[in-house]
Amino acid sequence: MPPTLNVVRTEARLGRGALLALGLLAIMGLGCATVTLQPPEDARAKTLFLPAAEKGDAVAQFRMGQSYRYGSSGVAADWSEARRWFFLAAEKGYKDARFALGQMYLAGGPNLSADGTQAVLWLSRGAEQGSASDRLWLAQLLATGRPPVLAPDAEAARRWYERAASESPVARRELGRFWEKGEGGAVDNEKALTWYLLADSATDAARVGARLRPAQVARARKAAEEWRP
Amino acid sequence: MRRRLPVFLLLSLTGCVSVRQLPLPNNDAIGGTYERARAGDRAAVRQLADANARGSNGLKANDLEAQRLYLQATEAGDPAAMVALAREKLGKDNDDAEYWFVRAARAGSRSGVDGLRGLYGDFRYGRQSLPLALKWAYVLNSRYWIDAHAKNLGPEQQAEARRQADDWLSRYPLKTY
Repeated sequence: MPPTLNVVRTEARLGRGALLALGLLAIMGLGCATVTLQPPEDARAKTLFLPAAEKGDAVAQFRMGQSYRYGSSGVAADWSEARRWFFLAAEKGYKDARFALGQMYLAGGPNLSADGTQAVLWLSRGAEQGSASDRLWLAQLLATGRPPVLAPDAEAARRWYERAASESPVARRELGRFWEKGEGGAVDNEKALTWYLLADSATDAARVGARLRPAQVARARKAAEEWRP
Repeated sequence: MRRRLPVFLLLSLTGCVSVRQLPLPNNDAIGGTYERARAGDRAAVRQLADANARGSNGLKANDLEAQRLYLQATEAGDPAAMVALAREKLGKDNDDAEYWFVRAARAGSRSGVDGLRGLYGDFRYGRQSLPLALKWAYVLNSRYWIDAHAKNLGPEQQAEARRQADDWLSRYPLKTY
């Protein structure tokens, strides 16, 4: 029996309102289905980054490195490939690649042994050409170390803080802390106060200033006024 | 009724059936956001830092790179990055946390001010000072926190906290980011 006849009979039994309700249910139930398709093949690394990377573009080489490092943009994670691409970009002087290479050596991972010396080498090369914040970051890393791969090195940290100090108030404050606590050298509260004043860190300056004689405070203030990056 | 049935069927089949294709995994931290960060967009630098901190947008968690990028964004004056650094330090190095919250507050960040209120209002951070917590609650203009901190202080301390808050706001007004 054709289905339409069923409807006619149903109309006869249930009435028009009930059939309308059935129709609405059909719309809601049958009609609002969503068919979900899988994403297209992910070939972004191969189509967007690889052609330029193969021509020697450092940014594209860095992106290939990131893709292999994290297994994204359509390639599986492969630290050997990541290292190869980062190295190519790093050798061209691309800062982010130098940092990435240094961080990979610091972390160690599949097919790459952790190596503190290589890590510091590449991170230092990155910081050399980077901004004050990059030098500050390296100084903080050296100050705390990353055991067991990288032991803390207060002297090296102080040198990087000094190199960042001209542009970074945070680095100036850290130098104050180094002198206050005697990290990487002797304790010198007068020098600590000078750096805190240069960092515009009132809380720190008040704390250290309270330990000094007025003449020492005056000398520290004078040194801060005369300081030139 | 026979004429209506095809209409019902048509409505159900053509009106609402939708086809959806799942998108490719987000790789903005290697693609678009990275490009904007390279061009000097400080918000993009912070977003890149967030992606490194969380391990999202095509990256896996990398706390070292997150720190480097947060610092880069703070040096460019991004208050949200200052707050992110402060929160990361909170409980580990509260001097550092305070420093970054203060810098964010000076830049007019509500989150920075709220961080200072929490730092002084919560005994867990070892530097509880209800007058200071009330000062920052006044700066924040949060009725809830003003009431919460003020009830344990005398009228003079409340007035002083109010005065300090007004003084702060005259120098560092809150901004909408």
